Amino acid sequence: MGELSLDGEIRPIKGSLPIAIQARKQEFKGLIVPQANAREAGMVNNLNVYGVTHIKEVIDFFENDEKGIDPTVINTREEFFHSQYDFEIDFADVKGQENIKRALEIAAAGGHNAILIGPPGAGKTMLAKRLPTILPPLTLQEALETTKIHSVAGKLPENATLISKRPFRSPHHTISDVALVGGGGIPQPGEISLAHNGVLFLDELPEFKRTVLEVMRQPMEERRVTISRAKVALDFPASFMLIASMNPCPCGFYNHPERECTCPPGAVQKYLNKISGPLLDRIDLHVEVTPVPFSELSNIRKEQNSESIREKVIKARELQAERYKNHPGIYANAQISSKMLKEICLIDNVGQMLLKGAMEKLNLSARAYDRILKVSRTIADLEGSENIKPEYLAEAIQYRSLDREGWAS
Amino acid sequence: MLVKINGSAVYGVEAIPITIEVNWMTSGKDPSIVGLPDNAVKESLQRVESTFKTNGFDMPRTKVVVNLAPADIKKVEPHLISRLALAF
Repeated sequence: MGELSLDGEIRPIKGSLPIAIQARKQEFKGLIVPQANAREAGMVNNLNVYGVTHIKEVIDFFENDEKGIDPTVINTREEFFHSQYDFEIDFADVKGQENIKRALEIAAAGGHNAILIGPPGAGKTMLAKRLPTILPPLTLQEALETTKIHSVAGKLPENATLISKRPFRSPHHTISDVALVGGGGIPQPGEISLAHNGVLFLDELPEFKRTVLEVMRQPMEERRVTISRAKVALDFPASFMLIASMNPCPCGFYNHPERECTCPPGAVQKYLNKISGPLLDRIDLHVEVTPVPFSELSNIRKEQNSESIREKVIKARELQAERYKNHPGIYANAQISSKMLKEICLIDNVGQMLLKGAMEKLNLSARAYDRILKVSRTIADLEGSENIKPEYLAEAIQYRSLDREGWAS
Repeated sequence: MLVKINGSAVYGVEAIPITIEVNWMTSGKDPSIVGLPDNAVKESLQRVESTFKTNGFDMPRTKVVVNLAPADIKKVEPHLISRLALAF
């Protein structure tokens, strides 16, 4: 493999990892790749990967009975586990916002999609960026899948090996449909595939083009995207957690504790309508973010750090893995169907009463009902509780602010 | 003289193996690539020719036929291989 330059040098190529995997499957003895791709392809065991920089090396190699170049050997496991928790950011950097941190903890534990709603400068982006630090670590299998996609897209840095951290993709809101889901003459993976096994963060959700948001609906359900073109139909995996952020209205200060919203009547509703019902349907947690008061900003109290949150998340995920071990394809609470919901998310009489009261009082829609049950199941898992207690339900109910009919009318 | 070499192309997130066959004739001119090559692959014949020259090998002056099997769309990968054929 390799791209040849005029003087015989060999330049790096895209997708050397999938090629190496395929080569091993077909029981090839070895593989010659450009030096810059050697570490990437060398992750594959039981295959001799030779990195070369010039065509003469290749010719010498074959004329000397395949000697003269040492195969690149990578200890995948060691490198993988070495850099897994190497984060530069931490939840402890965020002052206050305990309720948001809690909501993100729930989102991470159950794999729920979430939307953060709040005025500018409240810290929505800062919080969302820290989400990968509390997610459970990638398994080797997941890491391989993610690395493969990045390898095909040519997004791996030179001399890179396995991606050991969950990806965090935050495309700008001018993104096109094709860039988001993937495509092109020879289809390339889009942002949702690059965020496979990680987080897709859409900042300022209503600013995205409507068509762009709608194309995401189906991949979110199927956890993969099929790109069909005249000549080829390709499948790209796209199992991601969607985290979105938005202002509550065009001016940004609707529902702000101190400032007045200056939007004309109807503008707020119009702004919210940019996000379609079906998309909102797939977002389990609606979290309202309020700005941090100065007294808390200057507080030097030590905040809960990512590591301690992550431990709780991992425990909750283990409970879920145990529960869904007979259901292939399901690994977190966010993915259960409404049929399974009735079996798994049982609530007692007190809970029923509470839910009924809340739905009537807050005018919650039918779609909110399922979401509340799922989220309360995750909260119960976080607390290590077998049953969904009323207090968990109560907590889940408050994460449905956009379903409330009183909002923005 | 006929030479066969294994290569690969990336198709989605999977790689598919490709066999590259190079044969040169005793007569004729102008090399050709068959098996639905992409433009980038077609151009690669000229890169190969240039590489031969800079590294002191000779390009055969008779017709060379390169076949890529199976007949799909390929991209940049196969070049390296076609000139390996000469090293043998």
